[in-house]
Amino acid sequence: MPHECTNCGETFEDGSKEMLSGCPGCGGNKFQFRPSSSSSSSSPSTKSAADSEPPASGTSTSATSQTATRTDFDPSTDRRQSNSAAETSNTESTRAWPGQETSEDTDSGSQKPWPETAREPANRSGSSTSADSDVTVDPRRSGETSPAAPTSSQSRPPAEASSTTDPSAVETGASAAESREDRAQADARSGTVSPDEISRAAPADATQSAAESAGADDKPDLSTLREELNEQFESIRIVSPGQYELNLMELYDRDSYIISLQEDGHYVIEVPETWNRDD
Amino acid sequence: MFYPHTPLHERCSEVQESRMGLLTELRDSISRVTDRLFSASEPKRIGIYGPPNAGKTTLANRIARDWTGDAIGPESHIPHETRRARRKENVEIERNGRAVTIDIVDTPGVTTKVDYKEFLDHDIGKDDAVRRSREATEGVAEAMHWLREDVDGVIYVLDSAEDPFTQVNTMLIGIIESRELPVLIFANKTDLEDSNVKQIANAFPQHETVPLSALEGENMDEVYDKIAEYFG
Repeated sequence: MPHECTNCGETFEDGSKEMLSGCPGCGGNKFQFRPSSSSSSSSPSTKSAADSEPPASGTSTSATSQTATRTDFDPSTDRRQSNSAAETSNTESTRAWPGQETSEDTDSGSQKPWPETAREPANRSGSSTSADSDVTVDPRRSGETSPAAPTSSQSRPPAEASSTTDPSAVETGASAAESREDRAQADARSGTVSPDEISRAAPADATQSAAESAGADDKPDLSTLREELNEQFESIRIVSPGQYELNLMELYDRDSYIISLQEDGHYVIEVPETWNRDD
Repeated sequence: MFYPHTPLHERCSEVQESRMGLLTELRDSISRVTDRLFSASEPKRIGIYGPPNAGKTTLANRIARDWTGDAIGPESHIPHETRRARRKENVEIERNGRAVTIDIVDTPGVTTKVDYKEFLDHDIGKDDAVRRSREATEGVAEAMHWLREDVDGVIYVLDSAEDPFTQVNTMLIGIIESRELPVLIFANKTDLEDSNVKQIANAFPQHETVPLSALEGENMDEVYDKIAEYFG
């Protein structure tokens, strides 16, 4: 019984057309994939997300991450979340879990100093127009308004850059380059389409030259762009006073503990040496 | 002592074996005592995690009140009411004639975006909303830090009337799994009409889901059974 409605439990064969317009029984629009060969230890819903993707690295944590992106496949969910933090968190959630950094990641993990990368993209002027209302990760805004990013960038361990192969980063890159593509569609695409397909589609979707050059067939450029984008979205981004975006994986991974934020982008940290478990 | 028919080397070997046996027994006994001492002096820290407004503080208060008589923190329908982690130590839960002692850590709701505007809907002025927003962000940072440094087990609380298929949920559960921490999923708010426990169980089939209403105190017996089973 490959597809199961998460609401009422009704099952559908793989390739069934009944479920395309929602569960006939309850109208639910979330299904999980239960491959007959899957073991109980791995998340069965992984498959549904990975239908069109190459196999993930296979740990249970990666499996749950895929479960999340599978949700984005649902158009209604996308619409509902399009103005929320869904896209931002998508970027984060598909990053590698602790201890799961792939060799692919580390291969492309060379990092540029932050100030250079922040000024590098060509369409800097355009990005500011979308940044105010756009919750999508926007490196240029980070570079301009959030001094927090370089602060924590300096303190981060050098083995970062875990998500340089993350498909969602491509979508993020396109958004940052002012793609007017519907964000819900982009979000869904990031969860279900392989990186290769995204890179092929990027020139058609994006209208700006920076995104085209980055998202075209040129793989190294694409990885560099992804790396830049992810590197610049540090633990906490101050979008404006009282508005924050949080990179949960960065917050979890960092050795130092952010104990106080200031609106000018500075924050106070407590470094591990002074961290007292009993405090 | 005289052993008329036993060669000397055999006698030595008997004494040696007897000594070894004593030593082994002694070591085992010391080990049992230290184990007991360790478990008695170091109750496990159980972090209560989940998205904002899932009912974490209500649950923490329910557990703390049931077993210690005190509450942990104020409950509110306003999101991010809990903006610093709060701990209640030495909560002794008795199940089936056996006592389990834990420290409960009630954490701020984890999210990827905090916006002061969501507080404006709750009759909070802009300045206060901005301040709450900043504190809530610090709270999320603190919660993530505790997850990495200071918890031995996790109770993951979800509002069973809300969609559990969110990035934050799957990410946090993934982190918890990567640390190999024992975790229980609590499908809270079963008193609500829209509650759908099956959906929660389906979202995380690899973990045990316990339905409850912390507010109404529904199914708390099973809650305590599971806490004792998983974290005892």
